[in-house]
Amino acid sequence: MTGPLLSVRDLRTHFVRGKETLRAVQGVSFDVEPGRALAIVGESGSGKTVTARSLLRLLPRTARIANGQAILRVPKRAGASGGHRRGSGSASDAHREVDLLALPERELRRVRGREVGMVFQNAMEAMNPTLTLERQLTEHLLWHGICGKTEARERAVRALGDVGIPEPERRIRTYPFQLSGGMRQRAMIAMAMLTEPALLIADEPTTAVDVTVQRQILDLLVEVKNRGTGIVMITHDLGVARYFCDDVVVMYAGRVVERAPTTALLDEPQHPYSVGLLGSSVELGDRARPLLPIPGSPPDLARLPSGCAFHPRCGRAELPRCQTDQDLVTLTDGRETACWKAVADA
Amino acid sequence: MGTIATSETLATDLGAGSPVADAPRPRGQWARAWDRFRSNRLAFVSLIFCGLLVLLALAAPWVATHHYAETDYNARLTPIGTPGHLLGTDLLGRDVASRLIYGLRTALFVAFGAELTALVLALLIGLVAGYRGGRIEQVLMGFTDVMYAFPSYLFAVVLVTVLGRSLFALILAIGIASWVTQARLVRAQVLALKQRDYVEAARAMGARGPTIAVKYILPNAIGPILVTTSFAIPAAIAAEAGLALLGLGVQPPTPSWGAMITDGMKYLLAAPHMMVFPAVLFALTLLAFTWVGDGLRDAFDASGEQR
Amino acid sequence: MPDAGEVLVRAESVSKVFSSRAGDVRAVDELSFEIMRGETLGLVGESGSGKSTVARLVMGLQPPTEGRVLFDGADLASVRGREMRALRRRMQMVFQNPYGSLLPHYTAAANVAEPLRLHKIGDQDSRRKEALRLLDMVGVNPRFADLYPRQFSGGQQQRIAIARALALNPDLLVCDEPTSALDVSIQAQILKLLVDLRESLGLTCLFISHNLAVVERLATRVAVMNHGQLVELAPAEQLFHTPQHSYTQTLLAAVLPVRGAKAATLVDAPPVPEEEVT
Ligand SMILES: Nc1ncnc2c1ncn2[C@@H]1O[C@H](COP(=O)(O)OP(=O)(O)OP(=O)(O)O)[C@@H](O)[C@H]1O
Ligand SMILES: Nc1ncnc2c1ncn2[C@@H]1O[C@H](COP(=O)(O)OP(=O)(O)O)[C@@H](O)[C@H]1O
Ligand code: SF4
Ligand SMILES: [Mg+2]
Ligand SMILES: [Mg+2]
Repeated sequence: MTGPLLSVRDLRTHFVRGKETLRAVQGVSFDVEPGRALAIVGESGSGKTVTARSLLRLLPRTARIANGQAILRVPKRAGASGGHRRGSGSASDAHREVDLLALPERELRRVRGREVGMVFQNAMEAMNPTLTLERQLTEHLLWHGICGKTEARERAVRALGDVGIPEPERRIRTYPFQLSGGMRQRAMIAMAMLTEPALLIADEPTTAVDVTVQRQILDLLVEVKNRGTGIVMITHDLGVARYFCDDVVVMYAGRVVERAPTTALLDEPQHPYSVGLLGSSVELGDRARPLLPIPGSPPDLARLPSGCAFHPRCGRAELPRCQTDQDLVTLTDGRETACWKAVADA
Repeated sequence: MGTIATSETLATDLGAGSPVADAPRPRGQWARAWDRFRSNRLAFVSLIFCGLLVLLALAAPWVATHHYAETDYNARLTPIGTPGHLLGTDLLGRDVASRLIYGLRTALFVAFGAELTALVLALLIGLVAGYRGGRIEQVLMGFTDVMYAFPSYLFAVVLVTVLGRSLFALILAIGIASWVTQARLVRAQVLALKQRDYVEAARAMGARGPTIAVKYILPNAIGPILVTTSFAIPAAIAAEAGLALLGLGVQPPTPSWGAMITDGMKYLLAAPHMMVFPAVLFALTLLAFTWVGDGLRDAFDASGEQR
Repeated sequence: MPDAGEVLVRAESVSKVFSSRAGDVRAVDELSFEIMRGETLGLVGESGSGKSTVARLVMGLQPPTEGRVLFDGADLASVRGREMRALRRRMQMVFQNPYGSLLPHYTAAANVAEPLRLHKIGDQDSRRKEALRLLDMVGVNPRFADLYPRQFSGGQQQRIAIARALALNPDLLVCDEPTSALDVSIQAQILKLLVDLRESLGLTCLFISHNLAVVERLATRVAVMNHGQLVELAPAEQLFHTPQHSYTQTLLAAVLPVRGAKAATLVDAPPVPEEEVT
C-alpha cells in the first residue's frame, strides 16, 4: 500500500449568486481506500452533491472550485494517454497520481467515466433517453478506446448480466425509459462499472427507489466493493451508511463535522449534530423511543452563523465559545470531530 | 434531497419565541419579477422609454405644436429646423413633428387596443378550455385551430374592407389575428398548472371550479401570458404600419407611421426628413417594446428558481 | 376522546381503473377497509402500489370505478353540491410535496385562512387571527405569517400545509407521504408535530408512507398494499412483529437498521425477490 486511492484535501467550492458568494463546500478533506466505502451523510443542502461533483468538475457554470486537491492514484494502463505525474517518488510503478482538480479538461475527460465511475440518484440524468443501452454502453467503451466494437458489445452484455439484469442479450436493445426505476439504476451501475474504474462515486443511488430495490442495489454495490473498487457513497440515510459503508463523513453547512468508522459513529456519535441526526432517525422497532428531532432547519449558506454553523440549533451550545471556528480534532481512537465540547468529553 | 436553500428561504424555523433576526420582507411573484426586471438595464431603460412614449401619446394634443391635419401651403416640404416646424413639413405643409406624435397615438392606441382585445378573448377561451376540458375544450380549441389556420393578414383585409377604415376596425382586425396564439398559450399554462398539487389541495379544501380557475390558476399563469402580450404589442404596431402600407390603415388625414413612411419614400431625395423620422421612431419603438418583452420574459422565467 | 369502535370511513371493495391508450391500469383492486374514529390507519406499499389513489378515493377527489366509499355513512359518490361541501369540511389532506400543495401567490397566513374563507367562516379579521393561532400551533413563527410559501424551508412549508389542513377542524386527516420529501431531521420534527396534534385534537388519520418505520411510529393499525391489492391489515404491533403475508415480510426484511442491534434478526428473513422489468 502506498496510500489511499483518493485523497481530498481542503476542497472549497463556491457559487456566485449576484453579489453574494455562497460557500457550498468549505474545506472538506477525506481519503478513500481501495475496496472500502466512504459515506458522506448530511441534510439536504449540506454540500454532499457539490463535493462529489467537484471531484469530477461536473459543476454548473456559476460554480468555482476555489481551493483544494483531489489526488487520485490511477493504475497505469496500456493505451492510456499520459497524465500529470506528481511526486514521482511516492507513486509506485504501477500507478500514477493525478490531481483531479488541476487536470486539464481534456485529460479529465479521459479520467471521468474511465478511472472514476459515477452513479446518480436518477438514472435518467446519466443516461441518454434516446439511445438504446447497447449504443450507450458500447460507445462508452469505444470512446475511452478500451476495446474494439465486437468486444465492446460482449463486455456490455456481460456488464448488464453482472448487475443482475435478466436476459441481458435481449435487454440491451431497450431504451432506458423502458426499464423500471430499479432496473435503470442497475443499468447505470453497469455503465459506470464498464471500464472497471478504481473509484465509484454514487450520489444517493437508492433515494428514488423502494426499500426492496434499495437492498438489491446495495448488495450489488457490495460486490463491486469486494472487487477492490473504492466507493464514495452520498446518502442521507444512516441505514444505508450502516449497511454498506466502512467509514462515515458527516457534513454540515459545507464542512465535515465528524468522521469515524461507521459503527463507531452510529453507535457513539460524538458531534452534537451527528447525535441529532441519529436521534431524528426513525427505524423499525423503536416506537417506544421518544423522537428527538433537531430543532430548526439548515442555515442559508450565504448567511452562515459565525463559528460552529450548528450553534443556533445545538442544544449544547455555549456562547461565545461556539461562535468561534471549530476545526476537526482527532480523538484518541482515531476519529475526528469538530466540536470543542465533544472533544472535552472524549 | 430536492430543496436548495436560497437566500430567499430566510424564514429559519426556530419556532416562535426564539431569537431570530428581523422577519424578512414578504416577496410575492410580482415583487420578485420586478426585482429581476429592474436588474436588467436594457429592459429597464426600454421600459422608461416606452413609458415616455405612452405619456407623449396621451399628451399629444398639448405637446404637438400643430394639429395633425393642419396644412400650410406656404411651407411645403420645408427642411428640418424651419422655425415653427422643428422637423420640417410634408408635401401638404403639415408639421412632421406633430404628425409623428399623433402617429404614435394611433400606433399605441391600435396596438394596446388590439392586444387588450386579444388578451380578454384569449383568457376567456383558454381558461375555460383548459380548466373545463372535455367537450367544451374540444369545441373551443377546434375553433381556435381553425382561426389559427386562417391567414391573419387576409382576415384583416376582409375585416377592414367590410367595416371600413377606422381605428375600431384595425383594433378588431389585429386583435383577432393575435388572440389565437395567446389562447393556446393560456390553455397550455392552465393545463400545466392544473397538474400542480395545490389544485388538488384546493379541491380537497372544498373550492369550486371557477374559484380554482380564476383565483388559483390564473394568477400563476399570468406571468408568461403578459410576456407574450408584451411581445405582441410591437408586433401589433408593426401590423398597423403594415396595413397602412397596404392602404388599409386608418383613414387619412389621421396620421399613421406606416402611411408617413410610404409617403416619405416618394420624396426620399427631396425631403429625406419625411421618411427618416417616422422610420427611426418606428424602429426605436419596436425595439424598446421588444426589449421590455425580453426583460419581462427573463423576470418571469422561474427556471432558475427553487422547484 | 371520541368513541373508539365507531366507523368513520368504510371502503367497500373499491376499485379504481385508469384507462389510457396504453391500456387499463387497475390502480386499486377491490379494497375493503374501515377507519375507526380516533385511530390512525397506516397504509404502506411500494411506489405505484396505489396508496395515493386510495387517498384520493377516501377524500372523494376521484370516484371509484367499482365499490363505494362511505364517510360517516354517506356514500361519497352520491353526495353532491352543498352536502358535498359540508362533507369536505370534515376531511382534509396533507400532501407529499409541501411547496406544490400551497398556493404560491398567497402568503402563509392567507393559505391557512383560505379554507375558512371558502367555507365562509368568520370575517377577515377573525380568519387572520385564527390563521396566526394555527401557524403558532404548528411551530411557524407568526412573525413570518406574511411571507410567501417559497420563502420558507421545506419543513416549514409542510407545517403551513398542516395548519391549513387543521383550519376547518376536520374529523379525518389524510396524510399522503407527508415526510417523504423532507430530510430526516425535519421528518422527525413533522412526525412529532403530527403525533402531538393527533393526541391533542383527537384526530382520525389515514397515514400513507412507503417508510415502514414512520408508519410503525404513528399507526394504530396498518394496511399493506401491493399492486393495488390489500395484502395484509393488522394492528401495528402485530403486523410488525408477526407479519403474516410474505410480501409484508419481504418489505420488513428490506428495511436497513440504523442503530445496529437488530441487524442480526434480519438474517432469517426471506430473500428479496428479483424485480421484474416493466
Ligand atoms: N446550481 C447551483 N447554484 C447555486 N447554488 C447551488 C447550486 N447547486 C447547489 N448549490 C448550493 O450548494 C449547497 C449544497 O448543495 P448540494 O446539492 O451539494 O446539497 P446536498 O447535501 O447534496 O443536498 P440534497 O440532499 O438536496 O441533494 C446548497 O446550499 C445549494 O444551495
Ligand atoms: N391519473 C392517473 N392516470 C393513469 N394512471 C394513474 C393515475 N394515477 C395513478 N395511476 C397509476 O396507478 C398506480 C398507483 O398509483 P399511486 O396511487 O399514485 O401510487 P403510490 O402512491 O403508491 O405511489 C400506478 O401504476 C400509477 O401509474
Ligand atoms: S461547537 Fe458548540 S454549537 Fe457547535 S456542535 Fe459543539 S457544542 Fe454545539
Ligand atoms: Mg444531493
Ligand atoms: Mg404516492
